[in-house]
Amino acid sequence: MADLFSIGLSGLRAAQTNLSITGQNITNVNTPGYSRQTAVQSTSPASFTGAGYMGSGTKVTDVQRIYNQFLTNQVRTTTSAAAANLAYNMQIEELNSTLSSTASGITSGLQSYFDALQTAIEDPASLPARQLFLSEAEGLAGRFNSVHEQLSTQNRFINQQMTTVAQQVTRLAQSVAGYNDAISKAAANGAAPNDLLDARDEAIRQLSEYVGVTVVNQDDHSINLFIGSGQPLVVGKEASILQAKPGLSDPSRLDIQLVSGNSAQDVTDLISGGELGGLLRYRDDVLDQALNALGRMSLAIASEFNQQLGKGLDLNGQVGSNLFGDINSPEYMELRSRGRESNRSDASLDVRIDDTSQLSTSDYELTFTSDTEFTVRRVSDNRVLGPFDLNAAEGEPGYAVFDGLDLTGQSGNFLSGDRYLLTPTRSAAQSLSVVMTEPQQLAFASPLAAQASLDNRGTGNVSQPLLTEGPQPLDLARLQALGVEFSYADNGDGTGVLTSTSPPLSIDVTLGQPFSWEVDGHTFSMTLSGKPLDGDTFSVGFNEGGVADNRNALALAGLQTKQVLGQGEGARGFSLLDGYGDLVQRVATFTAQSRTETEANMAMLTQATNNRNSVSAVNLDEEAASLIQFEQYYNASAQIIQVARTVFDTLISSMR
Amino acid sequence: MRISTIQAFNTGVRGIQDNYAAAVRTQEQISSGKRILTPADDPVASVRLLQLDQEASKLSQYKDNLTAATNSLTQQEAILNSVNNVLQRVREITLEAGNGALDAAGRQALAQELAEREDELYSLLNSQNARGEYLFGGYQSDSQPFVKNPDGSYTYAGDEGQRSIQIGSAKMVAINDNGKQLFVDIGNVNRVETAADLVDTGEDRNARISLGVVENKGRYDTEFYPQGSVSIRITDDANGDAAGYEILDDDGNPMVPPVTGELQANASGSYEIRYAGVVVTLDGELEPGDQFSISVGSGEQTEKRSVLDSVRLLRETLENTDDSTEGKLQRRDMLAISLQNIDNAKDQVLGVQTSLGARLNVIESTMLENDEATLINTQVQSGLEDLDYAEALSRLSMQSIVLEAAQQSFVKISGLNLFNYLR
Repeated sequence: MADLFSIGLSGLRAAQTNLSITGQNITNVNTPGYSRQTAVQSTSPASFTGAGYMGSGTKVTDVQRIYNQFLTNQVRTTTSAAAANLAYNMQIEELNSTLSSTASGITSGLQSYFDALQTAIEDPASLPARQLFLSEAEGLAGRFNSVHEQLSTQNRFINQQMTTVAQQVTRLAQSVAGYNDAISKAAANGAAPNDLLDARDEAIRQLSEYVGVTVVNQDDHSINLFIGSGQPLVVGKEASILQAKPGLSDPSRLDIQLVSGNSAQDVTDLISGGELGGLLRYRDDVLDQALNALGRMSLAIASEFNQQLGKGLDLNGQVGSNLFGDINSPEYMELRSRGRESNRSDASLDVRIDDTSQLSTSDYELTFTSDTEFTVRRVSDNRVLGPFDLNAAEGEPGYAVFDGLDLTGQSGNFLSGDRYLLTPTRSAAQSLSVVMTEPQQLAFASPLAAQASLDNRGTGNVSQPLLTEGPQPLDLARLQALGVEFSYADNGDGTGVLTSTSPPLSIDVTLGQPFSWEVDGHTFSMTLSGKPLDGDTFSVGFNEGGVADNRNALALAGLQTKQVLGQGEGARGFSLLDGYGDLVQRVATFTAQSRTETEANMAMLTQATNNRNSVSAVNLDEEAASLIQFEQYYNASAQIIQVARTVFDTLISSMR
Repeated sequence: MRISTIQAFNTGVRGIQDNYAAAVRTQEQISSGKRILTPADDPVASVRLLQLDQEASKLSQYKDNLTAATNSLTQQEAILNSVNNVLQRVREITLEAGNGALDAAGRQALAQELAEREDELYSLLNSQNARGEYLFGGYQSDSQPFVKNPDGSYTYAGDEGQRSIQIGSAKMVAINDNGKQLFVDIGNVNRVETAADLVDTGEDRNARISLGVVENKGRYDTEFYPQGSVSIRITDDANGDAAGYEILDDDGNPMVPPVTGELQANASGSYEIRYAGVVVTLDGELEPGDQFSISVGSGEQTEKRSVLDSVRLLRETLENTDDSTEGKLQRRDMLAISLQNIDNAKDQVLGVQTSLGARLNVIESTMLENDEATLINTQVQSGLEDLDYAEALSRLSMQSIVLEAAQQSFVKISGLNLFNYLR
């Protein structure tokens, strides 16, 4: 009968264990990463009797977690992808609305700017109209500045976020290493430390939110983690440190370094997945591109308007001065390049912008192959330009001018192996500023005016001369002294010859067709129409007092639709507004893509999580049923003991 | 399939969140009236909208420019009408002054009125707009374009500048006309100088040559002008009386082939002689051998004479001539010339008025085109970005129903728990 007692007892014990496990499951229903546990029960060894083998009760042999490695892996990878997309999406949504909002948008600024110009064109002598244009120019510059500032704020936010994420990754890597240690010790006795395993899985899942990791299982139940293309983050119980450091070539952008032992490796370009991967992808693919595109626009605005204004006369009859700050002032030229810290020389490289219509939105990496020779890699398409030589003269091979940039005339002494990052357009939107203070200084008039002599017998009309090319600035004294007397000789077939003695000129003209003539590097275009007769004279002189002249202002207004951007490598180019539209569209398309990707990734994550939860997570109904089941089990086992006692009592009382 | 408790909760909450987000988005669309809230909602349409926006803004700027051009041209037109009225009156005065019965007092009265008309014209030509800019100075709008010299003559101080503004993507319209073209660059019929070289007969001679008048500019330009100067020599008949004339060249030699004619007096007893587009009138007793030279003019007798100078010369002639024969003839010459010059001036103004009318027509048609383009633009824009309210509202009510259902079912399902029955 002792057997029955022990059988009943073993049932009681098993029922207690099962109830405890059920309790554990119920209380951990909300614990992240918890896998429900179950007891593995088997019969106790039977003993041989005459009647055959007789069972001796039950025993709990193991406590297992219900777990599927594959499903857990899937949760991890989808978590990493979803976190990357979410981080990317949050940033790009902000950019998307920044670029499109009417308050900060560039479009409306450009439009008001050109509207004000049109008003001034109608009445170029009016100071209020000029002042309005000047104010709108300031407004436009302000818009560029503030959009640049918003993008820079994003960059600063990304820097902060990278620092935080790197710290979190380091912390989680250390805890995974700690779990590795604990698990290998705990598993030494052969049983699986379920809760530790769950906690480690959860730590790795959290890690995947920050950065994509590759998981490699080891024989001793420990797990090795790698990031990027196989850079070790956790190996056994050793964890590396991830840290954000100012970039080598651009300190305003943080780079990510992996420090293991005493060696640090730059892994910025290798990282993918997780919040870190998303932020880096946004920075490289979108933010820098947007900054560069904005910068290129502001450079084109400043350069094109200054150039055109330089071809005209202001209200006081002076050569037009700059409306916007000179794009090639020394401090800006220096800002456009940055030498590596490892450079052997500390020379700074000046980047002059020669032709804004040729500019690309790419950055460039420049490497000196000797003390004066260098090659340039265009980052956007990885094309290597060059070789160039600082000493090459114009027309010679290696003349250091490419993509609208001019690197000639450096004052520094460079050494072979020096490397520079060129960001010609990166900060330009920040430096767009209006330098003109007086509205009178706006050069709306053209420098020369033409007149037909009143002694002309013919009906020839000469159009007002337009300056097509000229030195910057114009030679005012020369133009003021100019007094060209053109005398016409008719060929009788709709063509003729205009001659002048001072300066000596002889120009073949076709009536009604524009012709051009040059004096001391100033080229002018005019049209002779009507029916001039032999000996008719036309005089061209300085446009003295021509305050109502709007010819140069009309040329300025022409910049609204002129293709002033993106003409590099023979492309047709596009206008300022189209350039902005292009940027908006690119960002919008990326945003729309990222929305779809985020949605898809979230769905995949939900699915993977559901799959995992379906197998491993606790169901309270199930546990309630188990509670009932094991309670009854306990009661029944207790009944066995009760029966055994009754049997024993019966036996004892029969002996009395 | 086994569903864990957390899974059931997550799924329920996510369903509510998704439905809520969709409903909020629809609500946002409804309250803004826009289908596209940010460019990413429809990148392609957004870029198109950006272009349409730009187009609309340009059209509105063109509209402003069209209004400005209309104002400017209408003002100019009004002034030109006044100028025309003055010129018409001057022409009438010229005709009145030709009346032989007019006495000195009558002439004086006419001269006085002319002086007033001259002043009126002078101030019209120096008209300013509301901003104080001179209308007819070309580019030099801040200095007076017509200036009176100490000797009473007038000078144009402006230039030939003409200001254009943009009224369409490839359309410009000129919004002013310069004073030179309007009032100075006017063909002068009196562009030759005449002089008499009379035979000395010992008596007082009264033969004279009138002011020269160019009546055919084409012939004058090709035939007369290249010669620079010609002379008319009076020839005699068999009686030794003046009966004919021949034209001599610059050096006093007969033309090859010779150009001759007979002297035939007209109704008023004068001889009109025409050569190479120029007509002169000889008066008084002619003697054979008298020579009258006609040469390309200088000074006042140039190709062009401003309308102010034409009026001034007429007035001076009326003021300074008396009732003598010479005085009458001088008046006759000047009146004839003035009449033609005033007509030329009127033609010139008329020509510009025609061009003004044409420009105003262009402006009007451009305005119509502009309005049409604006309308189309608005329609396209609205088609791209505006919300279909019927669709959106029915979508919203659908989404509200789904959201409510999700909420109610969640509460129901989450309340189902076996523990409720464990008592």
